[in-house]
Amino acid sequence: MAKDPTHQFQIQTIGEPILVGPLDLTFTNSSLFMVLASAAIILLLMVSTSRRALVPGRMQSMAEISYEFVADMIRSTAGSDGLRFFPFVFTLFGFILMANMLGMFPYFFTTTAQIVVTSALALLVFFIVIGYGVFKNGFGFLRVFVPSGVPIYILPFVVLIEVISFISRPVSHSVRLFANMLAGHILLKVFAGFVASMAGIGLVGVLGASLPLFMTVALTALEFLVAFLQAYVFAILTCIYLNDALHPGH
Amino acid sequence: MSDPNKPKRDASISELDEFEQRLQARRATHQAQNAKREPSEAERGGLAAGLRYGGEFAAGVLIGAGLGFLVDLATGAPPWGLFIGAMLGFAAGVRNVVRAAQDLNAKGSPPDGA
Repeated sequence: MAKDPTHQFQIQTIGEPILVGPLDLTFTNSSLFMVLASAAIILLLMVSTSRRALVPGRMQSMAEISYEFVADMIRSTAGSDGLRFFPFVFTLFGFILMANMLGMFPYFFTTTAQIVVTSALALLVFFIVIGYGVFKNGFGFLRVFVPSGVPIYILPFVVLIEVISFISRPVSHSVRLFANMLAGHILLKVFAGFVASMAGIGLVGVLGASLPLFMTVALTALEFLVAFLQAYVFAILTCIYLNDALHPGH
Repeated sequence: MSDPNKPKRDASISELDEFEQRLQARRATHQAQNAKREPSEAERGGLAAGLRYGGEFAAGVLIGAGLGFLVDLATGAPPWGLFIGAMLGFAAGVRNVVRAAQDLNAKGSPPDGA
């Protein structure tokens, strides 16, 4: 049980089950860590912007750097008018980054390693893109399915393929974050499990266990990079998709 | 009385200018180094890029086949919907991969860090 690498992803209910009609709204360890991630990012930003100094301190610089980071990301992918989505993209980025980072604590639950969480986020982006694209461009939004410079006789096929490609976006969008977090945490657990089981077989084992231990340390560092990078990738893909809603027809 | 002061001020100004130039040169090289060190997703091992291509392709195929299957259910026809849907899905998957590759190539040198 202790060495089961997927045990860490099991959902456990906290408190009484809450059933609203057909919906199961029971509070779980996954919900707890989503609440913690939201609370952590809100608290961090509130504390760091509470004393707005002209010369920023450490916390304030961090808040300003993260603001600039996301704003630059939106400007470079979706243009300046994409900045109206800044609150949305920043919220996504902050939440995913916090959830990933909280998952790096031992015994903490990684909510972003649950496909239901990542696909809910990806579908939210998907429907916002469709909703805003239709709201802003009307039928002009359909130009997103018609690449320029395609001969008329193969256009129906190309449009079909583009439609399928468009619908497949939330799949790859959500699976990337989910798979990266899941694979990373399983890998860490497997190598850490090697340490425990090798050290249990005597002196030679203890010497040999230093190899997976070293690997675990290296993987932990890599996982911190992945935790940040996947939050960044999720946010930048969101920007790229929002760009389609803002400027369809490339 | 003002004579001994004046050349001194000039000297300090030219010293400032010189300092400014040195600072600019240092910052330029520093930024160049930073830009080089930031690992873009394409460089960060083949694993990440491979996972991305695989995911994009699989997503296209799955969605294409799924839509075809839905068409089958709706029309109650023989497996032609699934068949054609899977074919179109393969094409969509290739389209996704091409787009992802273009994206990764364009991001070879990210404009503002990874």
